Amino acid sequence: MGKPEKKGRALTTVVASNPTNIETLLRVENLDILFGTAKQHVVAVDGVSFKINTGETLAIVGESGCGKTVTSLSIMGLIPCPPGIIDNGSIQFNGKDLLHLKMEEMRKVRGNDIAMIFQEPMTSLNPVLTVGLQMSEAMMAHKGISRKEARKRAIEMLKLVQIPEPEKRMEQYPHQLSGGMRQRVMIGTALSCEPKILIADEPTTALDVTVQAQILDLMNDIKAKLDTSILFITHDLGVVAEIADRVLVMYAGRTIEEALVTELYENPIHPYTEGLLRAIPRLDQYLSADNSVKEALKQMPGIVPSIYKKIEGCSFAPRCPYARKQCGQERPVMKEVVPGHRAACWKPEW
Amino acid sequence: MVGKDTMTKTNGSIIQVSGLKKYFPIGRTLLGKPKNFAHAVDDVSFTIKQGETLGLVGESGSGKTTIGRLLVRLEKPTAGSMLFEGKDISLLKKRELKPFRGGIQMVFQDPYSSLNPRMKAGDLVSEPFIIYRKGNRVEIKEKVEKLFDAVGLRKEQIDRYSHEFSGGQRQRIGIARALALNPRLIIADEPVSALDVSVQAQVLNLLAELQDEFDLSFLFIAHDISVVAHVSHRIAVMYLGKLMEVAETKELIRHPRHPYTESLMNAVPIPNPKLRRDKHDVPQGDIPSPINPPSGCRFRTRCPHAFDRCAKEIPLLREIESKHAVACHLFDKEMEDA
Repeated sequence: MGKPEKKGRALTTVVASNPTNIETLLRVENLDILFGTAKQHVVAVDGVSFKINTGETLAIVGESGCGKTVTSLSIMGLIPCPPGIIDNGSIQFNGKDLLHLKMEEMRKVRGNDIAMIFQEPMTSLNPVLTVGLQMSEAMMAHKGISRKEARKRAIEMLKLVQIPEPEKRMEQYPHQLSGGMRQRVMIGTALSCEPKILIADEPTTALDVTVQAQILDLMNDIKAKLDTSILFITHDLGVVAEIADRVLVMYAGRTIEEALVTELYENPIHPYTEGLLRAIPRLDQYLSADNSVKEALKQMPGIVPSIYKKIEGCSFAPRCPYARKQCGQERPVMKEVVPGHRAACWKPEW
Repeated sequence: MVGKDTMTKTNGSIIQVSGLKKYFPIGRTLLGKPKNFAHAVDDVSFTIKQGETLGLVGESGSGKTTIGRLLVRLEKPTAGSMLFEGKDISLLKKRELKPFRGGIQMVFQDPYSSLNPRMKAGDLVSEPFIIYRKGNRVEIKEKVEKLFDAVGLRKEQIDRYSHEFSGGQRQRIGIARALALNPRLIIADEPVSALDVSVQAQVLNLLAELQDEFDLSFLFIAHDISVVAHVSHRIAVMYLGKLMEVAETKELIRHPRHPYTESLMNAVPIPNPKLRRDKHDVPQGDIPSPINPPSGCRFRTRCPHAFDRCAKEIPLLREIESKHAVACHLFDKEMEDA
């Protein structure tokens, strides 16, 4: 029983770096999202549950089509209906179920309490408005402050996101800014109404590595300053290791593993997580002393299952090296395997 | 095809590039003269040895894709020479190029847009044989089946259209097409960056297997230095149209010498939360425009070590140790001191 003790220690170190009282800000439960009609549809999100605590960064990681973006959009109330159908589940925030709010009420939550930034900042900024105008517009709408005040605050926000010469940038249009600058403007705008949660959907994927590193530093910096919780959506396990406190792994619309970041990387339970971690080329292996032979990457056989097919058992079973008969028939649910570490897999029970 | 003379002339290298330049005209004046030039590739020299993979890494706008396109002569160089198996292909006309095209092939980034959606997979792979009039229908069919096998596709898939394949499988079709005419050099331009991680590994491993099987040389272009390091024997780091550093992979990763390479290495996210850094030591600001690149060293505007000489003189790429070349004045200073 030496092992759980070790894990307990890892838990406390991460909590210690996060001194505020842990409180659940947002709780998603049993979320099912379909696209199509009631008769004919595909399941994009299948029974997803998780929570976001105050002041923490939760990363949702998964490959394309795993449902991570759809999950985040549903929190913002941005799933178009039709064709999207939120079939089941609840999203609890501030004592309210976001899924049952009226449009007006949801509008108040959006931007004010929960803000979102996207992968490609150019498509989320309005190309015909100056940076200053679109930043102040958001604040005037949500905070009801005057144009002058909003402008002043917009400049402050630009300073916060470390944009040089903020007064000059206020008068510029998005196309005059570089990709990194645009993402900074997006972050500044999103944070201008002091949201409690910032949802960031692949915010650095379109950026160059050196700029990505700047933006990750900025987000870590801001989180510490403003005590905002961050829901970080990404496919990149490197980025997750740099920014997350806790990680949720998704595969084919389902959550399959959840743990604190160090725990997940050191002791992945689900074979998919294990496979992902082995499939990435990593530089740190060159830095460790003796490796004269280059190892082939451990590749995962097969591909992600089509969402058009209903999956009976575990969605990863067809690609899983450990799969048994049970895996193809019974669906594993998320269970705590070691304290603070949950996974949806039959293997730990064998 | 390669005679004995050319073999000795080429010194075991498949391609020798020297002084390669590509300027793209930007805008036109009333008289039709270009107003400006984007210096996409500016005086670049390197060689790739037989059977070697040279990784070319750089951020967007560094000119790495342009180099790839120049080598397959999708672009015509502004200046410089490219000796492929000893023969300069930089100035060849379209018709003269045809015999060389089979020898240098390209694998593109986006397997979705680089395959004709109206052609079947088998037709896509047999197209090169038809264009080069190699074999009759039966022979071609046999060759296509062999290629399908080599890249890990099934024979039954020959009659499917490209939309019926996943991203990784499409990239396999692209690779099969590139292999069709027995190329000696393959330019792979971001071949895995459009793919998911689990599939990325499959394609990277496939490329490595094919290299051994067909004795291929590669120019592997990518923005992700961890991917490049994984497949390359040597790595060339590019910034704003110029090579900054060239060294063997392990040497480059362990001892990056150029300040830009160093900052690239600092910026790469490491998939190990225990190695998390509070602050990345990366250059602030963005990459300057290639239309008016900084004078002297291209990196000086973001370099933490820049001094007055960096603005005045363009640093030359030269060996500071055996097989490790750097273009940086810091090392000139070091050498003078020594």
